[in-house]
Amino acid sequence: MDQYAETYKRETYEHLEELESALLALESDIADSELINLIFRKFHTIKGSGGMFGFDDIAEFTHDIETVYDGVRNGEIPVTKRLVDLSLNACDLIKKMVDGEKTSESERVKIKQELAGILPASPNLPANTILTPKRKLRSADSNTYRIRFKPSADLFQNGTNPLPLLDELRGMGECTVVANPANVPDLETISAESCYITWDIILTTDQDENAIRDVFIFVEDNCELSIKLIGDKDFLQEENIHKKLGEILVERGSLSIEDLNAALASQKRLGKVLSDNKFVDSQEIISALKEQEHFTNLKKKHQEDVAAQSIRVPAERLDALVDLVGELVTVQARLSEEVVAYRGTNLVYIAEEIERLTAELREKTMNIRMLPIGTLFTKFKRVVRDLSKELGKSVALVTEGGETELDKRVIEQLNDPMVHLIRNAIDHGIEQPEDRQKTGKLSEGKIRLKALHSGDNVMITIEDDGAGLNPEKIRTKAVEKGLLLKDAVLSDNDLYMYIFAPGFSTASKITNVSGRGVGMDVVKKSLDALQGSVSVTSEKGTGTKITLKVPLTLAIVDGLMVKIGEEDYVFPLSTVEECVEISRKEADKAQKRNMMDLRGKMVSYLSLYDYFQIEGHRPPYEKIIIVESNGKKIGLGVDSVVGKHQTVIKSLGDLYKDIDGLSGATIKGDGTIALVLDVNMLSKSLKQDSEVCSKRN
Amino acid sequence: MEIERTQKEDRALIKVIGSATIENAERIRKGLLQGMTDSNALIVDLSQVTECDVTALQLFFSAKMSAQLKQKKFNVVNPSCNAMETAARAGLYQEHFQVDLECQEVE
Repeated sequence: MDQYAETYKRETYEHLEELESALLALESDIADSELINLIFRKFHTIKGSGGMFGFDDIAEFTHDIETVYDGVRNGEIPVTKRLVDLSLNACDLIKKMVDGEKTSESERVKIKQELAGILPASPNLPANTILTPKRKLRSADSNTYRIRFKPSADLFQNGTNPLPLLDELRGMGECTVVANPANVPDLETISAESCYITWDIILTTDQDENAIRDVFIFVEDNCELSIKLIGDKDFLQEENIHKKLGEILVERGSLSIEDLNAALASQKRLGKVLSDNKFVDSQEIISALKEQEHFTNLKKKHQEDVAAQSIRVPAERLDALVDLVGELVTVQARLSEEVVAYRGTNLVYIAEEIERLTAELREKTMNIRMLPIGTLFTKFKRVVRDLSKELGKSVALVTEGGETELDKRVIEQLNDPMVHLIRNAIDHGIEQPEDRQKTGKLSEGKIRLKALHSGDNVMITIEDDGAGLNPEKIRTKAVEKGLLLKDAVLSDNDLYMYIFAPGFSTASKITNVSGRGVGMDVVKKSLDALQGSVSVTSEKGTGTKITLKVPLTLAIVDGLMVKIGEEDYVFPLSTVEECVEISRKEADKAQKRNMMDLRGKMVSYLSLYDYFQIEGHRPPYEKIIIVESNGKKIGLGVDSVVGKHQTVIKSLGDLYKDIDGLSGATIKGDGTIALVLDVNMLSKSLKQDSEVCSKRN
Repeated sequence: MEIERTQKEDRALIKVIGSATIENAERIRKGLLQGMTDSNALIVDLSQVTECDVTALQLFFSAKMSAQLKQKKFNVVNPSCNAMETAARAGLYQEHFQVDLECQEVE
């Protein structure tokens, strides 16, 4: 039974996550009948399974919410902000109940009573949800058509009602109908019984053009009808099917490319600019935006279809598989080395084939554990909504690149630092609406989360359009705390990095959200643990952009193996920029100054011989591995470069895990150990050394 | 069908009761036009509409256009289920009108 209870809990957490995201989406689109259906189904499932697995309290509580959403589905209860608020509170309470936390009877009764207040007292209560007829599911080989239907003025007088025609089209697939009332005259001149409205319809269907024409067969002589194929069956596979508003209007012939470019150059919202400049009628813009929405929904559905083809595997089994592949990579490296010594030609071929297959297996296995970062971004919508409400601010969250994939473990570890950064942006970055208006900004602030791949890393930016950081204040505080010399010369971007120092806060008052300077050092520590880095840019009055650079995965990485003395060490290849060579004389000079000359530019230098206190003869020419850490280049001196190495990272034992500069170990082909270097810690120690030096001087 | 008209200072409230369909289209037009002529703001209450077709929706849009031209205020409030359903079926969205779904003022 415990096993079933665990399964119920796990599934309910997932349902609650989806519910939260659907409720937030419903708040901005109260007429979306599919969202309403989804919410009903989720509550229904939580209730049904709850009763089945002995969670009777959850089943009983959820029953009332299910009843309300049944009313919403039937158009008896309107979608309001209050309903969304109550539903979100109900979700929080269900989560507590699933967690096994104690919930008071009064908490439950309060929500239930408020929900009861929403239920219609009589069937005659006005409803304000828009009911859309049920649509057929689209099949994999659907095409998308743009249909323009312009009836003649006497359509109504002939006794024709266009609504059944539109309903029929809806029955053919995914359909977006937009009326265009641009030709409707004013009240004085309108002939009340004539038809002036035209319709734009976007239809994704598995039926052909003739079937669509057949719908209009009885009005064909009394209308202008155009049917154009705008997306074939392969277009859902394409990366970007979200057509932009300008693209749609140009494609429709409603706008010239020159006018579009002129509008884009003015940097305002395109729809507003086009409408203000009278390039396009506002009704055309509404229609084009609905078309854009049609494609967005279609893409979402397609992704859901793809997701439905997946199977559920416990994370532990996946982790065990990754570990096994790690072992295999190690053994394969050992095999390759042995075979070279053995010199048997046939055996070499076999070993090479095993090497290729192992690399492929490694890649595929790691891909299984990859998740889109959008799963994390969705959680933040609630954080932004609740916190902005609490602080009396209006903040919109915009996300980009949610499809960017990262190792599940990395995503899990990114949650806390990102929550801190977002909370900080809302509390300290975004100004109060009245202050924003005074400076000519929109009263609604914006936080943009963006993720994109960059080699073996993912760059995540958290950007707000708030007040920006104040470099003078940061400098004063850093000097006050003894972190910076009074006359030290630092760029603004370097100064901003002090916000990540433990206990550092320039906030004049401590709120229950932030201001104690605790969160930001957690961000830095979490990023260090992830072998990632953080950088900040900011402009006073305009906003702040924090960029997190994190590796795609932590389990098996490509490494660069080097030799220092008798021992081998591995750099994660994603941190390596280049390798250069300098003479002993130059290396000694660099060692004294902690700086070296890299093609005319000075970069920080650290001899790993010194750092790890390795005795022995130094080579006549030292290899310098140039790495990037927190946006800065650093040269690290080693003996020689061995080559690329598939690095299965093993954690160090308890005795060794706190050694600075090392993040783990890996097993080499010959069965011996190489230590994996922690580039961020090395760079930090270098910084501390130079600060000590400059203080002494 | 009935059209109930109330005047509050310079605002006119037009309440359409019953069937807002092609048979009554001309009467609705005249009612809207008169409301528009006599006031600076016209509120159209659709809570009592029992039946609705595209001609009526077209007239409400026409009234919105006229109000814009004359720089007067115009609002559609408390649309009934039938009115909402017809608008949804016809592909007319809230963006097309200024609709107040929960207007308390007219109660």
